[in-house]
Amino acid sequence: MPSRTSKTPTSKPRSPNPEKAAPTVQESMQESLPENMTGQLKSSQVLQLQRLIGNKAVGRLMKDRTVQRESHGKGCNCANCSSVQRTVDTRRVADIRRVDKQEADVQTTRIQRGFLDDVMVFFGVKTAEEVRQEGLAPLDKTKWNKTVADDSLMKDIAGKISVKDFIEASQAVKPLLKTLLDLAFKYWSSISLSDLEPVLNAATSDEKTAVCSDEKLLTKAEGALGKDPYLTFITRIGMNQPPTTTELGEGGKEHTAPAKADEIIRDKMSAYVTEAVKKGRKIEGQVGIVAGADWDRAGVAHYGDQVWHRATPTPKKNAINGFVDGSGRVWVERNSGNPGTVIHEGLHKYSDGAVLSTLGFNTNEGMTEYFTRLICADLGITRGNYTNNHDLITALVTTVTTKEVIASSYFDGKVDDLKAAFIKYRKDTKGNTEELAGQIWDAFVSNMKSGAWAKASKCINDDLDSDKLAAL
Amino acid sequence: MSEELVNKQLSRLNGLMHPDRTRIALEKVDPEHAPEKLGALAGVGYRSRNPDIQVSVYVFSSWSKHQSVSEKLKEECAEDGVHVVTATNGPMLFFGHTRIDGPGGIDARFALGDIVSAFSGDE
Repeated sequence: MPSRTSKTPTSKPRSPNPEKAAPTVQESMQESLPENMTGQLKSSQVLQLQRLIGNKAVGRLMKDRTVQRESHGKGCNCANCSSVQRTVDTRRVADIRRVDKQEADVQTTRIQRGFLDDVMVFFGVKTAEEVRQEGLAPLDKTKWNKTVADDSLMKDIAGKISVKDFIEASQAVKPLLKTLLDLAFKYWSSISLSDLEPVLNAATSDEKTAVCSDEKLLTKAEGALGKDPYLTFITRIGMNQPPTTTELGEGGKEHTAPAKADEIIRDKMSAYVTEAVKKGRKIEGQVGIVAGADWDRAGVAHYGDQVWHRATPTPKKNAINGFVDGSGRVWVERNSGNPGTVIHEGLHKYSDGAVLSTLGFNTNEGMTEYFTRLICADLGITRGNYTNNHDLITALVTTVTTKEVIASSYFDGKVDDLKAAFIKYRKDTKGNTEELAGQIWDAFVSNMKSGAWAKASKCINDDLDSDKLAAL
Repeated sequence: MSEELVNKQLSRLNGLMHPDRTRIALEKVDPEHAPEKLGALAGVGYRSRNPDIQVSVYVFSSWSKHQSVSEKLKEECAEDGVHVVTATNGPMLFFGHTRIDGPGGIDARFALGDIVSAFSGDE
């Protein structure tokens, strides 16, 4: 992609299409060229000149006359150069006024084309915002529509300004996200996701949905962004494909939308997720509910092609409803799982992570499923996922400690409080010593890690001494 | 739902119910109820002899059919000492039960838990 700082002024003729009522450049000059162009000119004056007499002319002017560059060269972006100073000889201006009719017409056309041109020609050092602040003609709908409908002009623009500047400039007319992305992916071959961030952040859910349903646009997006950024793009636009059934639009009988999952979690778990919410934890904008090629892209990127497609006995893609990848993106297959799947994955996002790192995968999934089912029971959703993990966490809640202690370990990382509650329970109700109670806790954690459910259950429920513990 | 998609679900079911995932060997049998009687498009049964566990999985045309059928199956099987589990995975509905009132009850309960977890898929 061309760099903004490497641009050269343009005077290349465009396809002639001047508006009939527009004044000629000569007329414009008579009206607006300042009488005294001597001395040091500010950048806005230079631009005004450029707009009136054309790039070539200004280029000759700049080449022939004294230019106070000192240590700052063309393209310098430093604070001192925010108002580039140049000295211009009045006589030279008069000479330039004799610019020939053909170039004048071309420049008139160019001026009418809108301020995107201004951005392009301004020595490549001005952002659209800076140019706008200097009082140039703002982009309006008419100019925008003419510009984006002109393929050759768009190609020219794409060769001379960055997609980031183009997007920034476009915000003066706030085009729909789909329109803007169509243009960006059509005319710029390499785009960074950060270039798109402002418009992705500002887009409405309807605008994002329109993008999600345009397969051609998504194909272009993958080509322009690259594989991994494309996956992030998918989650940022909130891809949410409905299940393939004979009864579409069933309402509530499909995956829960991520924004809705956040709403439900924050409502139903309001007593427990205060700190998590303060830390900005959420699932919206991090989920792709996908199928087919996108499901495979995400799966292969995370698990590798062998595990995803060919692992024995079951390829990963056939055994999994959803997963969180190494970049924290959540992937859910549209025809798998149930309406609790996104809530389950969402709860992972709200969790602290200490349970996973200290107590292991099975206990972490058990707690996630415990809170998932608390929420899903209210919503009439039946789940069978991680049933034994869930049942053992339920046993902790009903027998050993409280929901609040489980919640603080899961959402806030206070795992030591859970351990303390377990040891107290064993001492108070089973008569174990502190030391033995600690050993039983360790055995519980270990058996949970290995999926030895019956043994883990005995650590909670059975009367155990050292011998019985050793025999487990 | 097309036959192709039903077959896709059944193929997926084979992977989900593999012994490496269920942690117990399951014999394929007929489902307890004929699929058409429940409004399902297809059904598969599984059986474990020790512990004694019976499972049926049905494929429906949409997710909306699950709840009413699930409640009906649970009611039919409700009995003291019998542990009944239902779960969904996409358009598929799982129905399984086992006795948990004998000496091997706890093992049977956790075995059924492993089976339904395998069916439900990883998340």
